[in-house]
Amino acid sequence: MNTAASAALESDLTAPAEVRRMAAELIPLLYADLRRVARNERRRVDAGETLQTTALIHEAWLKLRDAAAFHDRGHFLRASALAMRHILVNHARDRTAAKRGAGAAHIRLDDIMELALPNDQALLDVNDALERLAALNPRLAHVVECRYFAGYGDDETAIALGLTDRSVRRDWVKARAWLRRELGPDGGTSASSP
Amino acid sequence: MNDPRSRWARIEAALDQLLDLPETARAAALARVAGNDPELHRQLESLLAQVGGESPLLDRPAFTTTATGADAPGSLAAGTLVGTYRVVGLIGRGGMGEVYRAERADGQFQQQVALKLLRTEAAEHFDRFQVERQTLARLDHPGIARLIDGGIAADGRPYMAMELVEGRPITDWCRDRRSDLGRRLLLFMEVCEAVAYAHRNLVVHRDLKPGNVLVTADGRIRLLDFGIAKLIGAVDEMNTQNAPLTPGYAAPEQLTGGAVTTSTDVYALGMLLFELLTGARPWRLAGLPLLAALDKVLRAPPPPPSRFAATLPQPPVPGRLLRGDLDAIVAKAVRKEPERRYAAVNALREDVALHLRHEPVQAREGARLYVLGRTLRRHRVLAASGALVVASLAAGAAGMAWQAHIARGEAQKEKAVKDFLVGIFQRNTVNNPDGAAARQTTAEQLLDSGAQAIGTQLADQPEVRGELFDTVADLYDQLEDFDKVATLEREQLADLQRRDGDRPSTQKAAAQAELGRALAMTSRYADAEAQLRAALQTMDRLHDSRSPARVQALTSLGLVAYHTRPAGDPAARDYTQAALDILEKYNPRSSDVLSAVQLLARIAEERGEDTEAERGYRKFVALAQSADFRDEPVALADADSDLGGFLAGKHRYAQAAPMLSDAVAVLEKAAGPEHPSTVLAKCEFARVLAAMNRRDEAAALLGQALATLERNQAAGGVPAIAPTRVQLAGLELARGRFRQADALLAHNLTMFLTQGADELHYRAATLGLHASVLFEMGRIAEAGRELDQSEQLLARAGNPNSAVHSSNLVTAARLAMMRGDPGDVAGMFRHAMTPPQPDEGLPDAYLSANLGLIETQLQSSEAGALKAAQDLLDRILASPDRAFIADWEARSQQLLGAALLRSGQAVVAEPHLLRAVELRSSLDDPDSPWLAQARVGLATCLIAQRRPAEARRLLDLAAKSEERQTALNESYRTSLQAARAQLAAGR
Repeated sequence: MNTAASAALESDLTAPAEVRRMAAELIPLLYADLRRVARNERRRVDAGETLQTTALIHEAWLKLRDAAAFHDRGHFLRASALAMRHILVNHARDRTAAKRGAGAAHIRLDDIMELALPNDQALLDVNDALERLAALNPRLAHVVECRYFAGYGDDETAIALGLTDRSVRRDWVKARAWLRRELGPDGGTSASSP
Repeated sequence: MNDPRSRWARIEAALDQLLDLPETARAAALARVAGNDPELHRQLESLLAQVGGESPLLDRPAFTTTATGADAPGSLAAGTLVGTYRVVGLIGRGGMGEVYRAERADGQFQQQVALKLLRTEAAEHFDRFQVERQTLARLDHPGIARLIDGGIAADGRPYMAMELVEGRPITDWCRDRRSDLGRRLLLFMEVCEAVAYAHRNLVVHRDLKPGNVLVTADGRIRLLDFGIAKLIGAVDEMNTQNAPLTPGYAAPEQLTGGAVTTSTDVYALGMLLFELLTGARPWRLAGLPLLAALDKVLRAPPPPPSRFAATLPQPPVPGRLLRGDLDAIVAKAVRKEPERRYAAVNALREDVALHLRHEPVQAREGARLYVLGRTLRRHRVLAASGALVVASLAAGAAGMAWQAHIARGEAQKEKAVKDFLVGIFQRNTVNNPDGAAARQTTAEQLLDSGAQAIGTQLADQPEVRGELFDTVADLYDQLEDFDKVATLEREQLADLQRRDGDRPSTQKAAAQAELGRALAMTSRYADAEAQLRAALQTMDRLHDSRSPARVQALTSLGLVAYHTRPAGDPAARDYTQAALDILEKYNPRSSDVLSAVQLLARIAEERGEDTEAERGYRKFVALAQSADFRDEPVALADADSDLGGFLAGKHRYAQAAPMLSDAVAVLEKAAGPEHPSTVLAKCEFARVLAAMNRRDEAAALLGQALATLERNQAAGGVPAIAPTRVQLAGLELARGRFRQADALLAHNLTMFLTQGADELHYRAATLGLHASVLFEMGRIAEAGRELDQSEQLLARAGNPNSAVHSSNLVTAARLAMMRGDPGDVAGMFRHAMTPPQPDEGLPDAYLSANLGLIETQLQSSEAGALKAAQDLLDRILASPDRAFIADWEARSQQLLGAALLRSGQAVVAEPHLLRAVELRSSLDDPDSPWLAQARVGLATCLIAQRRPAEARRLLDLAAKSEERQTALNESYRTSLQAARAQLAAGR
């Protein structure tokens, strides 16, 4: 279990307690698998032919299948999105820390290199901005979490959050506009809070 | 109100207002929305500026499965020695390692090989690797690339030398050559043969995909990398999780860590077939977010190839060729649950072969599961000729196949059950020492023997006893032997009573619900209702508001109410809706949802709520097409059959015909000709065929359906036989085969003496139609009596305004006219006339009453008769349904001809009368009295024009037909005699 991630979870009180508990269960599995995927990624060549996310899917599915709580698909999707956000943010933090020589020796940088992650700082900026957005309207932040960090479409986001597709689309337009304004043209930070 | 949160709430609300507007109108509205709040204005302006446009950062998920790094160079230079092989060059690389072209370095052979170099870690488990390798080396089949050699390279990596195959991936090969469907299927069968050979040698491929299935220059297939995935798995941390998998081709069990078996290859073959048929994979997983990819593979069934092909601009094979068999074959191969796929590759191959030979394919279990899940079937009886009869309902014999609630936890109990079941077979062997005789014992006999044993043995094991009651009752349920289900459930209830007294338990509730349903299925509605209400009470005491047993009890109560309550009573709808509410909330993928939606639509139709009914049937069709049910083609066929039947009932034949013809074809193959749904779809289609003047085909189809029903009680029983006979009788009456119609209906009436006395609708329909047949046969007194009985039954059924009643009114009016009854015959016809609905064709009741009315006017020489006849014919000819109401056109033409003749316009009358004869000859039996009448009409016209020779020939023909009838209404003979008299007088 990655303690930084779990600490982050503890502090994210905008998600229901049950979802946070599930997400905390999912994090170590998804985290370990992300690393394994990264390692395998370096060896795989035949682009598009090999499902490099197998292990990750495997673990997630085991949880999904075995834990009674995950029979509710909305809860599972919601918890996975939260878990994914914390994993990715944590990765980015560890890597930037490593670049600054501040430890995090347990992360092998080269494991992660080939993952199609955006620039670490940009991802962290989105995350920080999202925390500010959550203070204004948590629902908008949840939509971004599902769409951006978990990669859900409108329908999955709607299921995860118990909204209609239509509200998801509208929330996304608003949240996206707010984030773009907040992050500035280059994804950097600018202070223009409402 | 100035904290950031409420401030933002204001901004967001204003932003919503702007976003509701079209993009171009937003700027203009900005000032209005912001009012005189400059800060709000600034906020909105800056946010609007960020709407739209591209955001490279935000518009892509943070983490995707994008593949990278394809261009890294190979690790071995040309000329490097690996074992006894010399590297020639890199062929490619995959998840498992690198592949080189190589040749023998010892010069013994000129042969080139494909040299696979695995990852270094593999060497740690070299012994396992060697065992696997030896197994693979034994594979010797022309369709499988041989494993030649293997060992450890100098750099520590294990290697394998495989036969080098020069060829193209099967999908590319077919695409390049634009191979037709037959060619593709033959190649696919070759692939299956090779895989089946490997399976016989206990080798599973595990990674079948187009890249591993090559077609060589001579057009033969060759499979690569057999078992390699396992081999790699064997050496990689003792598990196969990291073995290479191919998106879209990897089976669910490979992703979830389930057992990889031959079924895993069946799945991949199903996907390969899909790609061969459509030229594409159902899903593009690369680039999908992780959880979406997970969801696709593990949850969503692929679309049917036919429907998928329909979405492609240029499918390699037209979608219509894939519909039915091939859809079903692919669906069965790629089921998520391995045990629901083809049990063996050979079975898959055999189905493709059957399809090529145009024989019924075996891919039907899923369909069967669905069909067994149906609650009820309903038989709409068609209208024909002057007598029209309407539907009532049929309880389907096959009800909801509810899962047996077998507690799987306790191994001991399971063992006892297993021992018991094995015992059933052993007893059979003891009773039938001759093996051949023992094998001939039917499943039903075995079950009977088992059911007896539960009664006599196992007294000391109440748990096992209870479980076996459930299991055996469930099996009887599958065999649709509801009497035996009822017996077993009664015994179980007695057991529970002894054990628990009046204490409620889930077993008790379930047994009550099962018993109630079994009683309903055997038409013992009063007992059924009592049991089902008791079941609901038990459940209430247990605070059970949503169990499957409760859904079943509610659905069965709906069924009982449907059969026993008058159409206006909302009970049937309310119970069924309650069941559907539970299902939609807790079990929306259950096929019982389909059954409930279907039943609700039928109830609405029964209540005359046509809009609601049509919406319900369309919902049924949409559900059957939805992802949850789309691998069960029978569900869709059934839905098509229902909607088509409904539309046909509304005279929307053009819409109904293709749906019904598809439904019959699919059901006949997938569910089998004996299945109740198939029989029902045939009846519905026959109605449309009859309307389209393809009466011979319609009669043949109905004859088939009836023969099936009479032979096989399980195909429907009385509730299906009775209306089918009515339908066929109506058709026979319309074709002028009165005797046959009479026989069919008499058969029904005899049947009702012993069975189905509660089927009030069918009895009323039979009697009503029989009355009109008797009328045509001149048995006037009997006709009157049966008509009265029919009306009484309709009143008892609480359905006095049904279409049967409308038709009875017409018959009553004709009887009154015939008898010369005093009173307002014209008024009776007017009373029988229901005006057509806007989106409906001309209803039979309307036409037949109208014709009767004009006839009375004509008889009493009313001035308006000619005009009325002209108007009616005009309406028929102008109707978009004209082609479907030829029978009425014939009658109308004849009537107008007669009216014109009466007013002395013989020359004008002739073409109308001639047209009537033509239509009749094409529609009717050669000896039809209707045809004879049309000839007499035309003859009369010719006599008036002094053309006796032609007239005589027609009258002779008519006389010959009429002589062949055993009994005939005297009006036929009267008009013939009158014409003969005129002919004689004219001479």
